[in-house]
Amino acid sequence: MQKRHLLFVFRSSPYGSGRAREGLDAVLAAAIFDQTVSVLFLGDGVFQLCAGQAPDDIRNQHKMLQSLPLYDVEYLYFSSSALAERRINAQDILIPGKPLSDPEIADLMATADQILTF
Amino acid sequence: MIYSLLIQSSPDNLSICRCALEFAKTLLHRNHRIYRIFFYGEAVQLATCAAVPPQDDPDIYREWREFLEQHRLDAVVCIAAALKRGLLNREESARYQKSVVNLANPYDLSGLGQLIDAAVHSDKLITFA
Repeated sequence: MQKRHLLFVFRSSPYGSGRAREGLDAVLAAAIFDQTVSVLFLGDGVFQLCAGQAPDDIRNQHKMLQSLPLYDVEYLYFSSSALAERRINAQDILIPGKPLSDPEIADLMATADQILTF
Repeated sequence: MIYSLLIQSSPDNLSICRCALEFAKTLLHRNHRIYRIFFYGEAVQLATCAAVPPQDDPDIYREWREFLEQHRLDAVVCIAAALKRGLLNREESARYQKSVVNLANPYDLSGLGQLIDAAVHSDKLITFA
């Protein structure tokens, strides 16, 4: 399969719906098919990055995200303004990711071959 | 241009399911090609043949089905998302020893690889979520 740059945009909170989990499954599929994968957390999607998640009996989204580097998903980004709007401190995010300003997010979207939103 | 669609909204979210359908119709009307329509998340429920909408409501299930059949489009329903929501074709129903077969024609069950394949082989992949 041809190699393209797929940008996955996560906009949903981790547990309010199945979307965060199903989005992550799609990211892993893209990695398995050897695509260049970037993941961007926007809006309520930044709640997925918060450390200290302790969901009982369901899959811990934060832990799953920590496994992404094992699948060669190396480009994780999050929106600085989404963090600020929700009063989340950058030090509470234990996943290696790069904060992006809104103009930088526009640039990232412009470089992607496809954008998939979850 | 070659397009694919990724649809994730439940049929209950009529405006998004209708918006996706109108978008797809417009693409063909303007001579674009649709490579694949991938149904994921809650949108897999659009592919049931067992839904009975209230009489006064539009039948979005039938509208989608007729559109896909009329244009012989590749309509793929994510198998993992479908199974966990109780949507089965004949083969999966037999595999898991269930008494129900409720996947409508012309939908196919397949894996997430089909979504990635669509992303790679289309000029544009549009998400309706």
